[in-house]
Amino acid sequence: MKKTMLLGATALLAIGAQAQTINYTALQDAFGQPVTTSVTGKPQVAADAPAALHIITAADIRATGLDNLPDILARVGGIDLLRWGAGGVDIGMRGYNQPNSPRLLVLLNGRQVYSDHYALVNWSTIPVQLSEIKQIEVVKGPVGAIYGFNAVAGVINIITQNPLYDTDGTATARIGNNGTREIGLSKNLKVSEGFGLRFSAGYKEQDEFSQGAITAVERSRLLDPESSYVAIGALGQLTDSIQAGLELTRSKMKQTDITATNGLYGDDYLTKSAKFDLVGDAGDAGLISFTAYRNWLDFEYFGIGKSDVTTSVVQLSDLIQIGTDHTVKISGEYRRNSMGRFPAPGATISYDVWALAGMWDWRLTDKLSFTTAVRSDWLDLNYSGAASPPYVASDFDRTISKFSVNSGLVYKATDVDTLRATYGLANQLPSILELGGFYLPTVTAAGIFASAGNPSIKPSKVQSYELGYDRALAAINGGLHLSVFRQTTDDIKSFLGSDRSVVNGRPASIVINAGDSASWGFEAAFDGHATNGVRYGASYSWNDVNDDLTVNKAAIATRPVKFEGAAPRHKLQGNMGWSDGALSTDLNLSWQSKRTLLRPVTGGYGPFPIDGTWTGTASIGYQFETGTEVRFTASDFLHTETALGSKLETERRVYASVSQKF
Amino acid sequence: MRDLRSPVRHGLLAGLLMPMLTWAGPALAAVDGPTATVAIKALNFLQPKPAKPTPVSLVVDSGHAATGDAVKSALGADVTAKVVEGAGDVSGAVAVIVIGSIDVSGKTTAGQLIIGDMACMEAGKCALAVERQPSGAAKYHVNTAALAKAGVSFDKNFQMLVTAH
Repeated sequence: MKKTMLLGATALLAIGAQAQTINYTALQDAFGQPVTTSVTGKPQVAADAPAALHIITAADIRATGLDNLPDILARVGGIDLLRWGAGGVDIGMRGYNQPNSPRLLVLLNGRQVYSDHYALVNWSTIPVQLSEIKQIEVVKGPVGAIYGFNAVAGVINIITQNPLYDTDGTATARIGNNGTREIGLSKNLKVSEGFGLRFSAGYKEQDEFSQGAITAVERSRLLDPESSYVAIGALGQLTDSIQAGLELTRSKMKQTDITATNGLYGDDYLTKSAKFDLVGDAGDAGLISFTAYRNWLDFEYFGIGKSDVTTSVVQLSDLIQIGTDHTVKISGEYRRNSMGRFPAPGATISYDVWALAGMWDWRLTDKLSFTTAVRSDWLDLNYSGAASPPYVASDFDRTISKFSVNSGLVYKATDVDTLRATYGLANQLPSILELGGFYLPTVTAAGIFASAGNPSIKPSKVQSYELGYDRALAAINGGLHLSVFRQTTDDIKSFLGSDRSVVNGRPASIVINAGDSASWGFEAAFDGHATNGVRYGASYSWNDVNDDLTVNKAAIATRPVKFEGAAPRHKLQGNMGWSDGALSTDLNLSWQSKRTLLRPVTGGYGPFPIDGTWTGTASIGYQFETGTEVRFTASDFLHTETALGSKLETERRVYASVSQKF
Repeated sequence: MRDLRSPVRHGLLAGLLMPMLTWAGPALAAVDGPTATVAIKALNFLQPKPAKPTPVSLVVDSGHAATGDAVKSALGADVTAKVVEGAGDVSGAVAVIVIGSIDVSGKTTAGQLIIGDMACMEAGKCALAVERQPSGAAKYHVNTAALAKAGVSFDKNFQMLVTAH
């Protein structure tokens, strides 16, 4: 075995071709459109990707004038934003969103940045400056065969500039109402032809919103959001055929967040990460990539408890082009996730996942291509330490094996017309809290009553069938994009509720599978720009979600699970901007129809209707020849407060930014 | 049974299907200035990477130097272009761009990338051709046999994005 690995490494070193990480800037310039690897793992121009893909470019980000990722993402058709407070946000896709939404995979340069205790995304902990983002690739729909367990609603892949190809630096200061104060700095430094460094750091604070339908107890828990981070990275050409990268990050934040049981709490997160990448050109044997990273998360929910999670991931893949028409990718992954029991300490729960995946891309004709990918995951659950009655140790002796599939046909009917038919099957792994990492014992007259995870919980199975049509519109330098899809979810998972289960003969409140859900959806979008600097676009999305739950049959719901009606059925937005290179303006207006969320009431959960609403953001900036930009932005400016969730209402924010390129 | 003769539905079907049925494929135009400007972007992905400005020869039919000069003026500062007529010398050039109908495959040396129009690429006399699309996007067509014969290779990420023949 060792000999084989040594031979492989020697072969890699011996090949003369120069290995390169993807130079997104140069490729976009050459092909006249963004390039992605997010859909199949193979480099593709956006128009060829067998998925509903939306790429937010650096220019798009800059034009918005916005200061946070969720508000930028919410401009993409089919994306839903639930804002619980000034910092707490959940992003959902295609009609499925919920507090602590665990259906979304968010990556920063290929490293997962969602928090692995509940697979939720805490956007304030992502260690990146908006000014250093090269592009954000949004893949809508399940992509489990490429990414594994968490990519069930979609994938958001944030890609920063590459220190070997981009040398940008930006310092930003921002001040605004609601106590907004922010400073940030990012710089890529090309030390030599074959070695580059990346540095990025930021600090942000803001007052928490104050209006909204929250209880006095929840109001006492409010925290003003504050976040900071630092990230350093290096990328070097080790030999002609091998490129290596190293990245270290640390982020810290405190803010008010919603929990999976719809309660509002103050929390504190500390994240750290270390990542090592290796990419080697092995000639005819392909492009070999090796990535190893570890994420550390220390979290505390004030008034509940604290714990920590360590996630280690090792990935190895080989991307091989065979002849002129076939590309194959073979991948292996090992993942270990370990968490101290929360909130009652004294035990450790962990799992190991082994995965094997393959992707085959076949260009059948000049116009027709077929891609299929399969992945198999094997999970082995482990538990050590003090018992979690009523569970016994053998309850945690569990393995899960799941198979994921992504398949797509892309037909380029003409130079400007592309038709797409895709199928996806992904599995939503229970989070480590759901698998038993959550354990809260209460002493009662009848003995210990446990509120706990469930080591027997089943993964949710998500399937999607989609037809898409894209048309490039040369007359307006833009395009038209249409998608219609059907999505089903089997074995939805529900966190703790007021109903009771029986575990080993004793009553308990545990995580359960709570039935199924299915939806139809339609998305339409177009964009264009004129030579006089005017750019515009609009999108409309519709979804119709139907839950078939085994719980929540009475007037008062016992479980915090509800997708039907929880996301707006209709969302319409339009955008217009203009720039002459120095002065730039942007206006975005959005309307979404009513939605009904859940909120805690005596005995369970009651409906919380939110009326349909308009929101708007506007920005104007001036870029001086010195590289200094002054910008004013008003977000959610149509109302003093706008309900975008069931807790705190989103306040109108106005802020000024000064940035300097260097 | 739904009425498939509905004017609205008929219009939608016509709008979607007619472009597919009537499309005649890419135009086989000669290399002009804008096309050459896009084509030389492929030099950024050559392995090993050539130094900039990269020497490029523009080969035109005898007596058509003005055509070559027009293309030369369209190229940016990343290349130093030289117009060569007919059987002129192309040695020292990293890339040879064929403007017109001349066959240069016999006079180039190993390591030189020959760029031409689609017909030249399909005939295997050129390794690379560019098809510019109305949307502003570009397609790079590569004759893999001609590329291998010339001893030229691209970065693998670029290689996987081109249309191979």
